[in-house]
Amino acid sequence: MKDLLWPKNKRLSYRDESSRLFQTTDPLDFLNAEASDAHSRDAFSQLHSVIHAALEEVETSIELVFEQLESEGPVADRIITEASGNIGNEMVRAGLAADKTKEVLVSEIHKKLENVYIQGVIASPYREPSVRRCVNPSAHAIQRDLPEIAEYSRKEMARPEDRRKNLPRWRQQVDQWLEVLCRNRVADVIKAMEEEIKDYLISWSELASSSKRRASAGGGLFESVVDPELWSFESEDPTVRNLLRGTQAQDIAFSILDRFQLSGRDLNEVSERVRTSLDGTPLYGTDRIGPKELEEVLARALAGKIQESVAMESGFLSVISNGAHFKEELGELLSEMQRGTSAMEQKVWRVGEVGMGHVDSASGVGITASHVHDMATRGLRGGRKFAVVEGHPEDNQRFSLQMSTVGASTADLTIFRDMVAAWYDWHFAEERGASGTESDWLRLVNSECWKLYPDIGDDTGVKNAIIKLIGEDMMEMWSSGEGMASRSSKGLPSDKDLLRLLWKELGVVPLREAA
Amino acid sequence: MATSAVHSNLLSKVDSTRSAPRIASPAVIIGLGSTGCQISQHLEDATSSWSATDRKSLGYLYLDTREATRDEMYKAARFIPLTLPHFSNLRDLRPWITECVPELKHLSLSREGALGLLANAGVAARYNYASIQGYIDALIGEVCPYYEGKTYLRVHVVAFLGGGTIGALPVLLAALSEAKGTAYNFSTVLHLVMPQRGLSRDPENSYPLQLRNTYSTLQFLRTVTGVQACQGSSTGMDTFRVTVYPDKKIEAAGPHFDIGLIHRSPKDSILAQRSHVSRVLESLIADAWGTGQDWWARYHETMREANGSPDARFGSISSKEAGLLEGFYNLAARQYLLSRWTVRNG
Repeated sequence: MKDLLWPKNKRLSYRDESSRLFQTTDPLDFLNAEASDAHSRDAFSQLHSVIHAALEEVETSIELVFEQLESEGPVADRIITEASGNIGNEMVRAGLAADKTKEVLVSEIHKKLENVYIQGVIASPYREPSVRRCVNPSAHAIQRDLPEIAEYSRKEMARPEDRRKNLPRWRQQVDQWLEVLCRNRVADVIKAMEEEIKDYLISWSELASSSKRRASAGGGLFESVVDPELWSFESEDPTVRNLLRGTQAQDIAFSILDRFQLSGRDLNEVSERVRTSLDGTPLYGTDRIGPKELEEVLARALAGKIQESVAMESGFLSVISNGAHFKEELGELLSEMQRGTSAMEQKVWRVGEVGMGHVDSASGVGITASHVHDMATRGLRGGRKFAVVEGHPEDNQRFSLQMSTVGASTADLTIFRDMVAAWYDWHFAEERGASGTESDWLRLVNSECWKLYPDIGDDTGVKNAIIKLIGEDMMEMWSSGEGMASRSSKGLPSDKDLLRLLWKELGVVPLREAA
Repeated sequence: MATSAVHSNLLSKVDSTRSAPRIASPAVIIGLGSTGCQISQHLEDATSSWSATDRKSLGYLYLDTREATRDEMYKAARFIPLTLPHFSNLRDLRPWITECVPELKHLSLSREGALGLLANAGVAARYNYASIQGYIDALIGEVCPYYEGKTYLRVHVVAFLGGGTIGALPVLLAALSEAKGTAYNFSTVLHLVMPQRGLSRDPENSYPLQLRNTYSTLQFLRTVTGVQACQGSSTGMDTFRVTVYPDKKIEAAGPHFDIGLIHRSPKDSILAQRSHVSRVLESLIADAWGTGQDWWARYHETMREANGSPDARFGSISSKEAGLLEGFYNLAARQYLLSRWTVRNG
């Protein structure tokens, strides 16, 4: 590595350095936390190679100018007179390219250091920060004055023998100038990096002590997770209820975290996500984000990773079901989900050949082996088969269970029965129920039945169709032995017969019944 | 150090998907009745933070027999009061009246007294039909600009099945049926909110009335999906007729709705009911994003495979318990940080 150091007595040469420097895929990898053998020389040489590469195009253009002058034969006057101007232009271009690359590098270093900082915070804020390896890289980066370049006029370059004498000198001067420019910019970058690292290290030590405070008993972070009550959080959304309570949720979190490991790539993704979300707010330095806010953003980003790590195959419920007592509780849990917040959509009835029924749905987190299905079925009071068990395409921790109860006994359809009962009871309520004769009952019901339907037009509308459908419902319930309890009073025909009479009177007697 | 002033900003930016466009198909949301209006307004509030492009694709219409509902709406909200002029100014026994009630006098002059009766809303909706139709046409044109080449939209009707205003549903469906005859093509999604004993102010008296209204309305919906019963006349057609003020007969051709979703509140609380249904609606109108996108994809897949039987029009939807998952994993992440910071602490 000695040849990569700043040469003490040797003339600097851009061309000589070209053969020595090597490009890496990540020129800032010396800042990586895992770069075990990285040291300040790597920093210098890698930054050097980046700026060097940025000047390659300029150097090629300059070489073309010199090649035109190298000819042993006559060289056009125009080429000789313009050479000096062209070289000057290329040197200006070199300066601009080097400045631009310097800016990019400084910005990339800042980004990289922020990512390394976040990764370090996640891994452990008490470990010696890896960037300390890069302290004092400026020992190798010395600012030098750019060498003077002689101006060669037409007179000094016109004759071939003059060119043979002056051209190498000119070329050497320009070559040296390029290399000095290159190294000066490297020195600029290193100086900026040193400032960043200084801020980094100061902030790091402050963060370490605040993290220690927050993580120790009584600290903010400690308090936010150790109390089981806090794991029974209630969402602001009144329709959402946390079904995992207290220690149960904590135990599941421990089980998940036992298996959870952040790969290098995960760490990069988390840190990039945190950094992006900060949107320019510095992580270190004087106006940096506070430790509490940083913890909040870190938790958000990590939560996403933890959630992703719980795969469909070995999902959330399998974690629950691995614990002996959770196995027993799972059915109950799912049952509660079905009754509660997650089963809010119920299809109350279904038409078609299969008769009436309803479809419940329960949502949870993850799904696993068949024994979980069995437990869920038991928890949901049996007799129901899974129609769908699938993962949410965007969120593999979720599953939807749809238990189709098509064909289930009507006794299970509480809401449906309630509705039919309410409709039915109306016919035998108030004075209608107190009627002494069949004709009284019919008159009273007939005069008020407009209250039951959204449409009572005789010639138009849908009243008749509605009554026919209701008639079918009633007949199905009577034939299944689950008909309504009799409400008619003494002296009147049975309420079943009364309803039949009513339908006949309304002219909407179901054909099956009429036959 | 940066203070917590930036905190909320930071957290909102962690989720990069929030800025993605949510709506692919424009939507008109119609709140029918007090509950439907409140839910729709809750939704309007929830979507107010969406991008301007998304909001431009949403239109709201509110209808209620209760005039006081207007005061609960935004001043700029399109609200149609389903009211009648004084009975003395109307000619009784006209078909638009007798389709709902034998004689006008049967309806109580007091609006409060008429609450809960399907007939009250039925008559009022027939009287206000022109207004309903006009508002629907205007809204469709607004959210679905024809000159931009948009001709497809979804209409979401939100209504409480147990209320009286649900009696206006046949008239509303007739108006939508007429709007379908124009250059626009749209799907209709019915969001039907179930009555619940615990939510009823008077479980002994008003709850049975709510259940009766629900049962009749559900049977009405079955009827207009063309379900055949008893192999007789009256059933098996998805076209129905209503007469509207003054004497216009509307032939409402089906299909009247593409899907009917039954909603039930997870808790016996009006607030929970409103939030829940509004949240499901929010997911569904965001058909280019998240749960809504997924749900519509599944729905269209189901419909492709459906055998054409009417029950394919009804479906169930799973709600996404974001709160549960988010909260749990957030605490798990803190636990992880604590474990890393504590181990090295010793």
